Amino acid sequence: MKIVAGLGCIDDYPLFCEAGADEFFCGYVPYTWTKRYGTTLALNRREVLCYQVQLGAYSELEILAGMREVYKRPIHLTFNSLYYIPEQYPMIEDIIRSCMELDFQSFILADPALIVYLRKQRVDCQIHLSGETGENNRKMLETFQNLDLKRMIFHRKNTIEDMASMIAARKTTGEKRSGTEFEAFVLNELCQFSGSFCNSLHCDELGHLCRVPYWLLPQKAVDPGWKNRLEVIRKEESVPERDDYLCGAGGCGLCALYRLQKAGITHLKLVGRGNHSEDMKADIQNLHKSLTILKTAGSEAEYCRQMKQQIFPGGCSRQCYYR
Amino acid sequence: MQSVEMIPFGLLAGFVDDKEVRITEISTESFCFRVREQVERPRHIRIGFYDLSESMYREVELESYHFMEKRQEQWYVSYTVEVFQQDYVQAVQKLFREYTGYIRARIEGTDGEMAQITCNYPVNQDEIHAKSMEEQKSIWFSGAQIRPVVRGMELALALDRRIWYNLYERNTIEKFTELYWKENGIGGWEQHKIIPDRLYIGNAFCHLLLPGEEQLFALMEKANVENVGITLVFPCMREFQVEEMVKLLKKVENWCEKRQIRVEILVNDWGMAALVRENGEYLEPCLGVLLNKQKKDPRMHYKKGSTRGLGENNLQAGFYRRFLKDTYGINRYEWESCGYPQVFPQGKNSLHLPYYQTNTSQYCPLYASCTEGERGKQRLPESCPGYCEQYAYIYPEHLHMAGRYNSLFGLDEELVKHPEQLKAYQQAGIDRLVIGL
Repeated sequence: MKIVAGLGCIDDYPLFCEAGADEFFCGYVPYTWTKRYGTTLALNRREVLCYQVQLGAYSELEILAGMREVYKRPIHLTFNSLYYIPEQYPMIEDIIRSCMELDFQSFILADPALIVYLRKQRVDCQIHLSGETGENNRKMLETFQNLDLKRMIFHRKNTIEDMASMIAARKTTGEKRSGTEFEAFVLNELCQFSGSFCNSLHCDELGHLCRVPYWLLPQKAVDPGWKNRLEVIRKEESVPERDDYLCGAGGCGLCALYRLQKAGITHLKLVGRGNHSEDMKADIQNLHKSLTILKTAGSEAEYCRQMKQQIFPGGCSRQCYYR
Repeated sequence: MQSVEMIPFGLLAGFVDDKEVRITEISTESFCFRVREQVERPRHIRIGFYDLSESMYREVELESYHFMEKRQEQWYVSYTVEVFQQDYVQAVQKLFREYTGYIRARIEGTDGEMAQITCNYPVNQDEIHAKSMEEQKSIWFSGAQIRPVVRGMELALALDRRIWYNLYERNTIEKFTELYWKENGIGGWEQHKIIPDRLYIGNAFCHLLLPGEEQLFALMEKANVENVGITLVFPCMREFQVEEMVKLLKKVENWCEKRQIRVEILVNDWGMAALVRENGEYLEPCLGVLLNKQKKDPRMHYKKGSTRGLGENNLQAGFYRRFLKDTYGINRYEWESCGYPQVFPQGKNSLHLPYYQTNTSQYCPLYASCTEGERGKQRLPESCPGYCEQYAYIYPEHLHMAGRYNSLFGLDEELVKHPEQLKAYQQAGIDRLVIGL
């Protein structure tokens, strides 16, 4: 399985390549787009201006293309907003064509209309179906595969059993799907809601809606036993909070690598654009180390034992992607 | 001389002879930019400063500047440009002030406190909330009345959970409708006994909230006898449900064929849309709210900057509607009223109200809260005793939102208080109202 790491700025590319990343994904939002649409109808899912999460200028893509000539690690560009409006499709086509001139050939897309549009316009790029599309079942993958996709990125809330079943189904549906790659989330940003169904704002001035204060309370106005009932049900475990770096503190699937490989996952998504470069580098190194252990471990138990010993000697975050 | 390195491109964009360049360092006297290959002395340089207080760019054309030095680095060439312009100095000072203020607000405060500084979000009201969902609904629907404000639009009621399935199963459509309004604290039944033309049966968000097969067909049979249209509502189809759904759709198809009626299937998953297409001559797929994307957030009116195109989405594109029709046979689109003017496309359009979905998990945050004590610790619930029948997430009262089952919803309070606004929706292309309470 290959490591696909998020890239927030081009300066990190050599650093992350040397740390063990095999591929990258990043955002490029031209000035003309932001000037016209601000962050309300963003070009990708990083709907902010005040953070170092997009590559920015076209000249940065040119420099990055030069770095890629040396390191030979592919870079996929994300244009994965859940939808666009009609006037935006020709704009995106122009942006994608300009990126293709620099030999950026693969694009992570989520809006079915954009995929249909690009194919209609005969834009001959590779398409990775974003995890923001909601890859839930074999019929969904089959229907999108008709639009000639290179890779399916499973969304965060798929079970490994479901992913394995979807991947296995490709074998019975003909040649076209046999070369499809499958990517699964493995580190950081374990969102509480599904990306595909997250329609709320994530902009500079207003944080994520899922972080607004909330209270778990009873449906009925008079329900004296509601607290007691919860206490009986709950299996709470406390994990001490830490300020220093802990791999996968915001979401971790390292324990699941053995099963993900068996399921047929070909690529592992390591998100974290905008995180400190040193933390991302450490994440890549830890994932790389885990994959090295996986190569020699004879069983899942053996893999988990060695991986935990080396990466989590003081315990992990318990923020599991795959429970 | 204070200089700042690597201000995000979204806040500070450079153009050298119209080529987008990254400004890597800036001060009131000079700035640096980098490019892959050496450039000739440019004829013009333009800098776009994002004004955080106004949420727009202010561009400064450089007229008085001097190319100071060029450095060849490993991957690029870096240029330093000295600038002698007052408007440039002022723009840099403003950017520094606002950017520093933003970073400080971000680091030192909560999201709400930061939002208060940046867009007057009333963080001091965030702790005011109802003590139960029942109390919350009584606040929202206090004084709400059934009023026949529009004619010519189909009216549907949504039966999306056990309480409504059971209530309809045991009562005539007239009695059920009366109880549906009254249970939700909405008055006016005695004056306006408006019976729905159609029932939406099923849940768009959680697969565990669908009626059992036996109950589903009982409800369909009853609706058919009572001459009420039927729309079956399905959430995302998980992989392990594919075979089960194929069988169910075949049974629904057979049921329809025997009675020579057509049933709508509201799909919220592309795989389900494909199955409906393959399995049903008598099944009409409708594009559910989870596939018909919109920006939806109860804080939308605090959002700053351009709102160009906010009321539109991809369904305004004819090529996409043709694709949906040709590939899946979809002609009807389900929308939600979400607090701002919307543009509806040609075709059949349903409007769901008064709630609009903002976030859904394909696992369940409420289940995780109840069983693990933490909303983030989610897994796929294979069965559920129905925690959502006992609990809900209550949010700050001023936001008009709540967490029900695996989703968060906002409430379009304006439509509850001023249903006469529905006339405008009808004129904009809505031909069906779907009430879900």
